[in-house]
Amino acid sequence: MNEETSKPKIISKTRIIAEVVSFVALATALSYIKVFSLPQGGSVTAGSMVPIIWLALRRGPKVGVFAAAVYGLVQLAVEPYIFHPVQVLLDYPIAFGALGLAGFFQNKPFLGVNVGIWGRFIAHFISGVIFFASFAPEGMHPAIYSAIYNGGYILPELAISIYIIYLLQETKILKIFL
Amino acid sequence: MSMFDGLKYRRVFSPIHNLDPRVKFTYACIIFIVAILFWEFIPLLVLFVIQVPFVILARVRREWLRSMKGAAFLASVIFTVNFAVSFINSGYMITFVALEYALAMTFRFLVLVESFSIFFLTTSPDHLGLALEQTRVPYEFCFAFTTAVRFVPVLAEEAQTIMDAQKARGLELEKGNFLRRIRNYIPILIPLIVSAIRRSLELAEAMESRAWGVSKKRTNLYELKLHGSDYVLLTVTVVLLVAAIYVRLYLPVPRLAEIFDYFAH
Repeated sequence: MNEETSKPKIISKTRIIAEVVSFVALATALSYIKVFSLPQGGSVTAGSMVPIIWLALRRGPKVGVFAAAVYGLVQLAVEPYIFHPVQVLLDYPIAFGALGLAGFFQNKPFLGVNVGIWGRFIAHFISGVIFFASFAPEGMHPAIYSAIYNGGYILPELAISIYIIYLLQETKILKIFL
Repeated sequence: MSMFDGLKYRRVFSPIHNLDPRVKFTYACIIFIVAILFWEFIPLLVLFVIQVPFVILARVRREWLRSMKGAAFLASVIFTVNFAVSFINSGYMITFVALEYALAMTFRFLVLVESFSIFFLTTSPDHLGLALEQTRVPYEFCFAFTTAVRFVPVLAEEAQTIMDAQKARGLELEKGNFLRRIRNYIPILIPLIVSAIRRSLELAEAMESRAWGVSKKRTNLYELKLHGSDYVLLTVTVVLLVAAIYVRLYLPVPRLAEIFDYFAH
């Protein structure tokens, strides 16, 4: 059942699921505290990605990606922005799922945060290219628009998340109740 | 509780809300396919208008208008860009072809937003979770989704309480430079994270005491079944698709320029 048999304490699946549930809920609650929002649904929030990345760093990539995918679906249900089926797939489950990749770098939190958020950026970027390419005429460069648009809110979020994770790590809160 | 007011799901009873989410999803997807089939303005306008009765029937007009308002900005961007490019390409002449193409692209976009916003506005997260479960998505995922949605208002309220408490102790959230402001959120985040973990322990105990995940084959108290109205919507959807394909293949679709010419003479 549990792969981590080398560890003395085996954590039950129930506890993992319960942790995923409360952290996804926390992330969703935090995503409502907006610093400012963009017209297409992108917004700079007060560290709404931190709980997910934090869970990924705490429990590893498998739990992280799972939690991130659940978070993506919750975001889709709470505040849907749907323009194109491929865009939905890329913007919600895949983009948020990428956040869980932070779990591969449990010992290097900064690298983890960067990998997670850049992964999300790439998913949003590709989705932006598809979106602009399907509605804009020929002769435009969808990649540039997508990069500008998505970069506009991912970069502040990246900075905020890295800084918050850095501050949280100093308090050693990452490993409590493990 | 101003910030989190939008979180509370209002239970609305309407013929549209009671429809099976799977059928509604199929409907939204078919509308999308039909919208892709046409690049003329008139069929897309028709497609836009025939969905309005759904909104009125579902009594979600205000929410729907809000999501359309959100889409309006992008719609205007799409219109302007398309029109400007063909305006320049045609040698600075305003042509009907250009106008029609720009309008059509804008309405294709609006139709997509409309159909999926009807789906999400009229489907409760519980229903969505149930539908996911019955389409064989792993149960852990569905459970985590439904429960997380339920927990959001609880945690939002807690966040608000902690924010108020820290403000009462003299924490100033709206002061200082960028870094300072982020650092101000730490005294809010730490109690929140600790209490989220505590809550997860309680939740795990509650789950285990109810023998969560013991039996491999689960049964449900509520099961989604297709009712009469679901079949009606399904029929409407299929008819719409067939009609659209027929029109596309065999009938000439009137263009804006032709209609204008007809009235001009």
